[in-house]
Amino acid sequence: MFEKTSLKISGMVGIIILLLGVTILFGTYQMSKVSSEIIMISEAYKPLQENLSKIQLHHQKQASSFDKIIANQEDSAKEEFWSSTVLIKSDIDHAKKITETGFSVAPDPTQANFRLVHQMFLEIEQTHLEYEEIAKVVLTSPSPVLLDQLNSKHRQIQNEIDSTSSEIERFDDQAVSAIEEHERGWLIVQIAIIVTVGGIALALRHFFSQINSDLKREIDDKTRELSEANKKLKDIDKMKDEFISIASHELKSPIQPIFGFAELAQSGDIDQKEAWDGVTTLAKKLQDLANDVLDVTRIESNRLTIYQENISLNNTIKEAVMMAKTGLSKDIKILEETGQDVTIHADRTRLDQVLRNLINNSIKFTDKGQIKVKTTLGQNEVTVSVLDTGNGIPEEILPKIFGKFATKGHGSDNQAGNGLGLFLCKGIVEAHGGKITAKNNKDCGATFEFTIPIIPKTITITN
Amino acid sequence: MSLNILVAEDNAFTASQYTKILEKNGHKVQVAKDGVECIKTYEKALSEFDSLDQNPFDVVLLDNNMPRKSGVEVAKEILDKRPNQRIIFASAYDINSLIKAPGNVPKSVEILEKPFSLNTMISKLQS
Repeated sequence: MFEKTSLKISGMVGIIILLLGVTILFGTYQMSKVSSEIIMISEAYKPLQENLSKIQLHHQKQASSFDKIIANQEDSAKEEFWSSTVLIKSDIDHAKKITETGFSVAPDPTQANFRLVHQMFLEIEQTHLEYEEIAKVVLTSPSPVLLDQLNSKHRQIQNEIDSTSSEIERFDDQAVSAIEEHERGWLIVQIAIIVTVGGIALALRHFFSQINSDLKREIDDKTRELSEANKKLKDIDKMKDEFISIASHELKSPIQPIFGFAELAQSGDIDQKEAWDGVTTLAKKLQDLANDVLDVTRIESNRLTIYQENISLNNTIKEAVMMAKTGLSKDIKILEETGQDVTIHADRTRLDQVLRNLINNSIKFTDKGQIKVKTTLGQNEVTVSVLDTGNGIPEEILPKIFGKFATKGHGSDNQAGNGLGLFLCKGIVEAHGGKITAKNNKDCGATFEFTIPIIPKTITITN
Repeated sequence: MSLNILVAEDNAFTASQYTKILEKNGHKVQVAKDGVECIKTYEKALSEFDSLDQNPFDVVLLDNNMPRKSGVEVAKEILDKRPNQRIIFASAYDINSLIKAPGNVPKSVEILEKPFSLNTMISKLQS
């Protein structure tokens, strides 16, 4: 289970690392794309500036050649003038081509810039053509007016070249700052992505550690529950073993005296009657034990069947006390202290079994004095108490007195019963929906009390 | 040959049967109805007995499952006082595991598994 969770966490961490990697890769790609744009654009502006300076140079040469022609009519100067014209034209054409490529290829805002520069080159071309025309006329028929015109055209070309140059400069700067802006924007986006991914990673880490600790706590709880259940099962198993061991001994112990009676009667050492009485007593003891063991099994597997009927509690007590009085060999008084009679819904035989068991226990542990059977009427239940003036219950036995064979074993001095009576009483009382308790009296003896639910009067009337 | 026998047996029927058959065979019997009483009886006999070489009883017949003190405990206590005391165990209580568990019962202790014939017991005692 832990391994699975840690697998999930490591998977998540892997995904986060992958996301970060993708972001960085994407950023790097963007940067390289941006820098390639910078190179492309600056590469486009640079030749334009170069061309422009070439045009300027050639035009200056042309102007100085023209001055020479005017001054001394040199043929070489005329050649220089016309070759400069050709060079200027080719430079302008070259520049126009670059700007054309620029505005057909470049992205939107830059495209307009290229268009403007192109326009400016066209203007330079136009002005230069006009200059050339005027120069031609001046060379054939010189006049001071035309010379002035030529000079003004020359200045116009100079101005146009300067303005174009400064315009290109401006665009170059603009492009670089636009790219910088773009880069800055992307940097912010990248930082935002990294921070977000980092935040998600932290949140997931917290989330998973929460889940992990919850899981751990759950597993700890379950482990504890299981070990407790295991301990309980072991205890039950141990109790079962003890039960079988003690029960088998109890079942075996009457066998030796039965053989003994037979042997002694055969050899004539005891008379027949004594032998038969002994055997009968032992057989009765075996029968009781077998019945009790069967009842214990029924109670433990919740299969004790209660045949309930409406009976008078006082009559049931009276019968049980009468039975106990007959055959009583000790000097004990058995008293009934029953109040107003109530009808209870109970199993007559089983209730009698409980009463007789409690009374007989009291007789067993009381040498003189009295045993009192008392009823106390409550709101929904009636309490039946059996009080005696006997030895009381040893402190070490009291907590487990309703267990199986609680009074059996090496530590106890009571071997007269089979050790199952009180366990059966508890099972029977609880099957009726009541409770049974035992305590020592302040002066002497013990009190056993059990409750039985009483039928509400309204129901009794409708019945 | 008359033997002096101490019997520890919690079942009243069995105890009286032992007494009957043992006395019939001319032996002297003392009965204790639990482990503690058995030890007390033995100690009393020991204090009244002045010979250092002989044991107060010829045989101690012990039931294992008795109130207050088990046969095994009684046997150990008696053997602590008198290592050569003859003891016979008579018990139905899981006798095999009792014998097999090491250190539980001293080796010198003899075993009679219940149920047994009273005549078997007599011949074992007199052997």
